[in-house]
Amino acid sequence: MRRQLSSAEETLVPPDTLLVRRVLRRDPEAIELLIQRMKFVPRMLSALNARMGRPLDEHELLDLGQEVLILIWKKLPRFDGKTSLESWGFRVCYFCILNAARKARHRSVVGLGLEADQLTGGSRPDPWEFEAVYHGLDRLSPGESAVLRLKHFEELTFEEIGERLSIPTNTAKTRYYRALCNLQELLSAEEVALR
Amino acid sequence: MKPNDRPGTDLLGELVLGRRSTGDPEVLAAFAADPELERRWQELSRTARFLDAASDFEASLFREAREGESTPAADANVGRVLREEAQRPRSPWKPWALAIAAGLLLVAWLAFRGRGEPDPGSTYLGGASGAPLLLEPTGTLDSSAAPAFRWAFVPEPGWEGHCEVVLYDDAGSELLRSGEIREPIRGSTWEWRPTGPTAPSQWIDLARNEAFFWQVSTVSNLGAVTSSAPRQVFLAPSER
Repeated sequence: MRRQLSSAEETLVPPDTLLVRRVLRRDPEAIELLIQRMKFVPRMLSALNARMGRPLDEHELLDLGQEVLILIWKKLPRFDGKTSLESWGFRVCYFCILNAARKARHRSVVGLGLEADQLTGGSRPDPWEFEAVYHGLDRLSPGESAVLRLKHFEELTFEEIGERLSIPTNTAKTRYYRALCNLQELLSAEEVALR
Repeated sequence: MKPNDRPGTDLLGELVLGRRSTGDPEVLAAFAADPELERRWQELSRTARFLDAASDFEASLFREAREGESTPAADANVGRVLREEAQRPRSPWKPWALAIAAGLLLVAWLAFRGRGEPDPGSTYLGGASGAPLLLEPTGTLDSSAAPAFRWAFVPEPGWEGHCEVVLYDDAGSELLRSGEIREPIRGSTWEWRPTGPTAPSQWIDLARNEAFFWQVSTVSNLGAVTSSAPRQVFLAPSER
């Protein structure tokens, strides 16, 4: 049986994890807070859609926003607090819009003989490029994935990573190195052209 | 350096963690002596740069999202959807209970299916007719060669007719049709592989779609048509 956390232990739990726990207990105040935080979802989808050359129209984007929110709600029990709710939600947005854009592209662009790289304009990074790296991060163990995210996405030092994950600094370093090796193998297996 | 059962691992680890940039002579000498170590270090450095690029990409999107225009309709949607989900009654079924129930159902179905399978070469005896049961392909396909599409169908005694396989895209447009298939390959198992005039060129065109659907219909000589539920077929990501 799961024991109740003491108040001292609760203070060690990341604030977003506490928020999610309250939401899962259907605390009305926490649900309102979550709604405020999740307002980033339609904005993020809109930004991603713009980057991809607007494969989805306004209505499709609204529908997709709804799908993403339902998916986020269903996945909330699996939120591990290793990143902020927004970073975690970003991944859901990213995969959902890529899937939706594939369908839209299949409907309208492939038939015209255009390639994926023609869908994106300018010199900004192409959203399709990072699919493999996100897939790779998902396939690593949670501990390895967390270390890579904290090092590269949140730019923490190894000391800070150790504190965040409650592990010694040297363990953080070893885990980082092993995670990088494993990710490199996964990306090589997918034949990703690393830049 | 600590001894390790994988030579070079500790040294590489030290380098990835930044000792090379400090110009440590011991490290630089070890690298100069071992081209393989240099190659592995380059690989890991590229992976690290790729992670940094993904991080920059994510950060710039968050910036764009923050600076993006407010969309009242979308904001209202967030509240509506999440409040609706929060009010939805929670299922008493835990995921593990559902998995066990699904497993038991699968075992029961396999046992039942095995019992009803006629001997190879026998006439079609027993078993209910009705929708053909789709067997393969069910998952990821290698698009380099046309796969075999297999299904099970046990006609009523005296039934005469044929089966047809249709492949279509997610918009419902027909991509490929098998023509009349009159004989099972064994027992109640039937098969169609796109060959002859439909392959390989049409298959290659088809394989360019990331996913498509297949469906089998039985058509009796009296004109009665029964169709399976359509099922999606996925292609291997590396083949797209």
